[in-house]
Amino acid sequence: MFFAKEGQNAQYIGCCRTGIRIVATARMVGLTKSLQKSGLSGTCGIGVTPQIESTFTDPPATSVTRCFVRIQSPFMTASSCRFLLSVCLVFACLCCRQPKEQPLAFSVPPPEQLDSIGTWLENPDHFQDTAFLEVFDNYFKQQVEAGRIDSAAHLLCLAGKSLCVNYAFDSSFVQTSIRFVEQYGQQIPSRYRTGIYLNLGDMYATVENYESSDFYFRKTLVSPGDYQTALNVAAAKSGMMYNFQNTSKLDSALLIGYEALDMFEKLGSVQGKMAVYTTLSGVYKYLSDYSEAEKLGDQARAIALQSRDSTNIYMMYKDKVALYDEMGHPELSAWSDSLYQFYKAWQPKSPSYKLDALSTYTLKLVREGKLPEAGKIVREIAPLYEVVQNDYFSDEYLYALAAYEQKLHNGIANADLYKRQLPILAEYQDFNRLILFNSVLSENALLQNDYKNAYYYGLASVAARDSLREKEIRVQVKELDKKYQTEKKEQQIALQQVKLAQKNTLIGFLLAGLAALSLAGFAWYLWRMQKQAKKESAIQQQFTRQLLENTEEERGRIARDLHDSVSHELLALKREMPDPGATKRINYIINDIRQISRNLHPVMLESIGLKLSLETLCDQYMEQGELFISHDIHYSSKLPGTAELQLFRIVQEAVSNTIKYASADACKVTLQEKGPALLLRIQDNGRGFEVEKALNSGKSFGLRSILQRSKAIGARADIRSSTQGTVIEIAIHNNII
Amino acid sequence: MATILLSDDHPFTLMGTKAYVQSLGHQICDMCSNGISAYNMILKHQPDIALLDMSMPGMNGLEVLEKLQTARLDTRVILLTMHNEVSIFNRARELHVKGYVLKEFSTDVLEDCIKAVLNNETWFSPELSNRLNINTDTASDSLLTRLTFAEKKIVELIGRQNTTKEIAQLLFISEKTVENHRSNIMKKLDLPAEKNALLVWAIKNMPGK
Repeated sequence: MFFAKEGQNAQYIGCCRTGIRIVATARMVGLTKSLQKSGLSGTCGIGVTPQIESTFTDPPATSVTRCFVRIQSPFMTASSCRFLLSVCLVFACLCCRQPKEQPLAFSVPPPEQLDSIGTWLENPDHFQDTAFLEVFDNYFKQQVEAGRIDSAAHLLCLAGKSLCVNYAFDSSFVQTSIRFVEQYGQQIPSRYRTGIYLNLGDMYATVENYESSDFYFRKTLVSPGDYQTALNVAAAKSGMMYNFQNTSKLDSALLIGYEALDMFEKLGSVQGKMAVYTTLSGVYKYLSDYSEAEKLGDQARAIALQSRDSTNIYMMYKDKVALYDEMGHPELSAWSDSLYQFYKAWQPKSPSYKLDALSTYTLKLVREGKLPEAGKIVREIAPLYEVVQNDYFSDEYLYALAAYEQKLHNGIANADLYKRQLPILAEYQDFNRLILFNSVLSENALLQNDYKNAYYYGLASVAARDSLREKEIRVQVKELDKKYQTEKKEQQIALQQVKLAQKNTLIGFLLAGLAALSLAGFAWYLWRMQKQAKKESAIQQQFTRQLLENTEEERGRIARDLHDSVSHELLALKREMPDPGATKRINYIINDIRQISRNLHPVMLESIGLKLSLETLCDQYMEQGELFISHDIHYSSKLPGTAELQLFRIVQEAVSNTIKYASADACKVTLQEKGPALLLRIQDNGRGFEVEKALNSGKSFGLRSILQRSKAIGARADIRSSTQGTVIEIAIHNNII
Repeated sequence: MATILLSDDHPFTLMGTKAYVQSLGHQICDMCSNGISAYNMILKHQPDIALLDMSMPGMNGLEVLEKLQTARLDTRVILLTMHNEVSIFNRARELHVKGYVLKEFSTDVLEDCIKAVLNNETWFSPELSNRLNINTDTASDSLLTRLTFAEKKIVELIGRQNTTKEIAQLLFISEKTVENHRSNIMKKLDLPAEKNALLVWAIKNMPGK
């Protein structure tokens, strides 16, 4: 059995399982903050996240860096009380399996049936019975020999719990447990195995063997397959948190603590959560992160209030008062009063609570300067102190007494009480009480004219005051640092947001640029395609024109040759022919040749002019009785000869089409000058045809040639046809060619 | 007795023409084988008559005629040509040609032509107006052959009981033109100037459609 704490203003750590006080001064506010967030937001599953797992691979905590443990006396200390309380709570919920909330992952199994001996062993109170272990040993061996291994394992769990709750370490029991679990570990259900491991971890922690404790706790950390196992795992994590605390690994403690919290949360174990909250609050308090400590403490108190567990509620009030005392909080007095009022309403039988509550109230009175009332209470509770003796609650009495006696300046009744506390307070850096106790002792020595001791305690008091000042400064610095870090982080966030915005803008610009570029590329491609098409069409047109011109030239030459040479030769021949029959035949030949020549090429178009040529062409059709053609030709402009020739050809083509296919009554050719434009129009009232179909049939050479010739001279051709007749319109710009 | 300039790119024709013209008692002032020299020589000699072939290198007969027209010379031009083409003839007339002689028939008619031109008359080969009938058949009804193709078409449409207005629309011509054609037709057919005479005749004589 041990204890931690003494004096007032107990700096005990919440439900510190072994009542051990940590002295390490790890600073890791930022880390724990972030962990707290991840832990509370429930991202850790019941299993173990990779991040968390890494903390398990830490080397087993080697004890005592800057932490120490006091094994002081056979009585309960405040911390062990707290521990007992919380362990009871945890075990209560483990055993009763009656969580208020439904677990998320596992259903709660019904309570397991126990025989009378099992039930007896299960009650932790019976551990005080000296025969407890003997009873267990006999019954356990009996079960093992009977081959009821599961039953034996269950017994081992129950008895182990009783030992743990009572902070007992029995090496023979531990050996029994280890041997049993080594031999039968694989065949017993996981809830018993983990239960045995958990108990081993707890028991080793009790005797500060953190290495072994941690070893067994880690063995407990399996992936849980049932509710009981999950609770065991969560409890093991809780236990590991205490171990980490006690080995000054506060960061690991917080990590595993939040994991345990998460698991209890998921398992619906409110009591488990409360225990973890309390411990976490203690860790933060030790880290001087008072606001976080207060927050977690408040959460724990809320649970305690809900569960209407007076002991717990009282302890939570006590926590709060202790925290405010350390903080020098202005509401300390009010909370002290609340504690006292709660005690009065509660009226527990244990003298410890009375001593503690009245001590706290005395302290309040002393602070308020109500010394007579304080004195009255001090005298009233002095006998209680004798009864309770060095109980944890007696610390508060000593604190109140010292404060009272200091105010009285009448010397002290029992200097040894204080002297005994001094080294402990020094170890726990409880500077407030050190100052108080030292100054009380110094004053006392002065009264007794013991100057040497007066000087000595005076010095110690001053030293403690300096240390306190130092600590306060540290806390202030820490808070400022926290503030600074927060601001820095905010600035970083702002900066990152700006950067992000810049990046987004840049990306936006890039995207826009890309889009614009591709659009431009596409436009350029289209432009080039169009240009290419234009060029090709120009080349095509040029080619067509050239081809047409060449053809016309060729036909013209043939026509001229026929007419001029052949006809002349025939004419000469005719003159030499005396026979009138031959002359007549030669005349026919000459006429035929003239006809052929005329069909090949319009005669002397350039000399005669387009107007006359067209009129004559129309007249000829009419005179030859091929079609009734009227014409209305107005043409005074000067198109190049080639263009005139093509227009002439178009008329020829159109009219011959009408003659061949249209069955028209008549046809009319008009040529009009409209401003700069020249409009040639050939209209008939024949039966018409389907233009598209005719053009696509590939047979309509005449129509195609009209279009081609128009294109070649840069004219626009429009062919419309219906059952009412056909209209071919050629529009050409006078100055184009 | 007149001064005459000859131009032809066929030397045989040229020689033949020269001999013939001289035999008529006229004086040949110059002979050319292309249009350009012909034009220049005409300017130089200013003959009474220029006898020009139509098809010549340099300038053809029409072009020379056109140039002379703008030069306002007294020289009268007779075109001697193989081109029995109404379009050419019409153009030549526009340019105030005095004579138009088809070579095929020149031996018979050139003398008449020169005579007429010297008397300040115009003279054109009669074959020019006959050419239309060269290939047309003459077997059909005698009255009908008096009509031109256009006139026959109109008679046909009248026979199909079209009004003047309808005929004008069908043939893309004005009603006035149709009326003109009608009166010409009636004259040619010796029909009385009665209202329905042409209609009755048309129905009776046109091949039924």
